[in-house]
Amino acid sequence: MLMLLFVSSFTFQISASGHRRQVSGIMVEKAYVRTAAKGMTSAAYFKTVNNSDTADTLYDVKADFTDMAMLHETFRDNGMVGMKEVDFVAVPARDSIEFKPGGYHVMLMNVKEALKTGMNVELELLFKHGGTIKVDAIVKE
Amino acid sequence: MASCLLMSCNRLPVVYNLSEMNYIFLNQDSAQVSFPSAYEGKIVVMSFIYTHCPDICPLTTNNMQRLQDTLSMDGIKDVQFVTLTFDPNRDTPHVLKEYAAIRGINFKDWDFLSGSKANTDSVLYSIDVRYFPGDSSYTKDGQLIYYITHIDKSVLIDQNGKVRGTYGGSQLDFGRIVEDIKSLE
Repeated sequence: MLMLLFVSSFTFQISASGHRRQVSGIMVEKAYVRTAAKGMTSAAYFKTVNNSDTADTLYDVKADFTDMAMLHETFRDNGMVGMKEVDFVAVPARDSIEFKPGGYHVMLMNVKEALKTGMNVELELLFKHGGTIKVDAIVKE
Repeated sequence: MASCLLMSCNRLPVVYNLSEMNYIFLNQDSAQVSFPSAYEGKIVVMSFIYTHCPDICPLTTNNMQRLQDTLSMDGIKDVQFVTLTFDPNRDTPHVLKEYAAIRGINFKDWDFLSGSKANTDSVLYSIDVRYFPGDSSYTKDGQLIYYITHIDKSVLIDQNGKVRGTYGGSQLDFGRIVEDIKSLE
């Protein structure tokens, strides 16, 4: 009985209206994607919570609704803003990392269809230890 | 003091004087717009974006929408919004129109301008809005995608083409710009 409870706390998947997923101690929540016209660029944001005792690494994102998805980070320097591609984002043990406007984001290039407010799209987040986590993201501005 | 009363001085100093310039752009409907004379007599809030910018520029556009709504609720009319692209190479009038339309922007008092690089640079440099090529990537089929590092700024222009205030773009001080707009009415 105790063993069953232990396993379930680390491997169950929660799906509350598609906005929260947890696999192997990694939970992804509050996922959303910006509106964008067909062929244009959008961005995805979410919060990754690591409930395990092992640090993990987000190293890739896949999104079938767009041609390319890349991990990016916005930077500010003396009033100028820009962004750069990042190879991975570490999620420390018992900690969280938030992808939010002005910071880490997933750059989504050349969306295949218009992303309109209220739509739902799926992201696949690839973690070194947590594996692939599929997340439903709502489209909003 | 007397001269100030006679000349209707404004508490906001002139930061840049654009009244002597005259550059042609196309708006989102591909109509020619002479900047800034097309907006003479109106207060102008001007912002700067490029549509391949996924993070900061949509924030700026959203701030402009929120500002427009705030002014409307406060009963402040005749404020023109102008957005100029850093990237006329990719941001044609059609692209700008799609960028704005999917965000529900009303073009009645809002122009999205695209022009030649020379005209774009002339306007941007006259108000210290700097930009330069940043990182780049290639798509699977070898298409180059480039990003632009740019200043995060918006400006307030009075009815005579004079810049009276500078503000953030993605980080906009709503209270300050609304007060400044009211002082120009």
